[in-house]
Amino acid sequence: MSELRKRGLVTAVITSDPFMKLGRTQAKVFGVPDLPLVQIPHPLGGLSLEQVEGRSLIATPQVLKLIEDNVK
Amino acid sequence: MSNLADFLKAPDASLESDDDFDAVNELVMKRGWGDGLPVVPPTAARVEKMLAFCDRPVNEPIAKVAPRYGEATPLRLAANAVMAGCKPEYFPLLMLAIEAMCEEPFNLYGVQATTHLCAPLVIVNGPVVQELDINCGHNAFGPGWPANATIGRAIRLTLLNIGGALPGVGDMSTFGAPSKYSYFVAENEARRPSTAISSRKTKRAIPGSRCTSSAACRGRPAR
Repeated sequence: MSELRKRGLVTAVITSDPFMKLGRTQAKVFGVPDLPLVQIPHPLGGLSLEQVEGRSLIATPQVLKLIEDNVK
Repeated sequence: MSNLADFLKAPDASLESDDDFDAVNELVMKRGWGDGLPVVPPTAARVEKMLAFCDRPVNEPIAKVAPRYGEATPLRLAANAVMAGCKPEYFPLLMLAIEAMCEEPFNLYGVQATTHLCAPLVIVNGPVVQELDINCGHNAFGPGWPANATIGRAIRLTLLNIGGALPGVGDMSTFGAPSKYSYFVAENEARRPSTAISSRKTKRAIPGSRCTSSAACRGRPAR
């Protein structure tokens, strides 16, 4: 993901709450400290289909905004 | 190792502290270094004794340790080996183990950052087992054996201090595990010669010796 970001593509990593700190740290390690992180609630495993859809409803607006901001 | 003093003059290469057990340990705890247990103060003199068993340039990385991808130089490794209580003659095995687990196919990043409770298990075999008195019999996983306890601990300190596998930051393990303090044993080759690690492909060797080391990731199987 960091390589895509470095090439100028609109890029984001979808991350659940407890992993935000790790995500930010890793973004710095890989030289893309401004890599957008799309935050969703934890956990991801063991979810029902409805709960998965709930996660996507939280992630999708963030991704769309990211795209829109980059198009402007 | 006459140039050690020069390396230690570099910015952030060393810290000033009294060679006092309590003072050093207070500093270590305050900085968030280590595994929570008291450490042996890594003075320049003790680090130098450790490096006497290193035949590589002391300030050139031998590996990059995930998830921080910190550079594991012999100098940094020696400081961690001292803190863990290693005897200097153990040091080549620490370097070997770190090199093995930083090879890309091992995926140390996955092992370090996962929510699982796994930890890298290092198994050594060859003449070094007898030479360094590494336990491969009763209680091989501890307690009570200096080589097993301290080399394993030095590996963990390296994973923490150089690799940045700090709880909740670089190491996301939900529960952690006792194996994250020390996880280092020897193979009982005499009892199982037909399945000796030395006959397998996944291994690293100390140049010029018949010692090999394998790193595996072990946790409790999921049910």
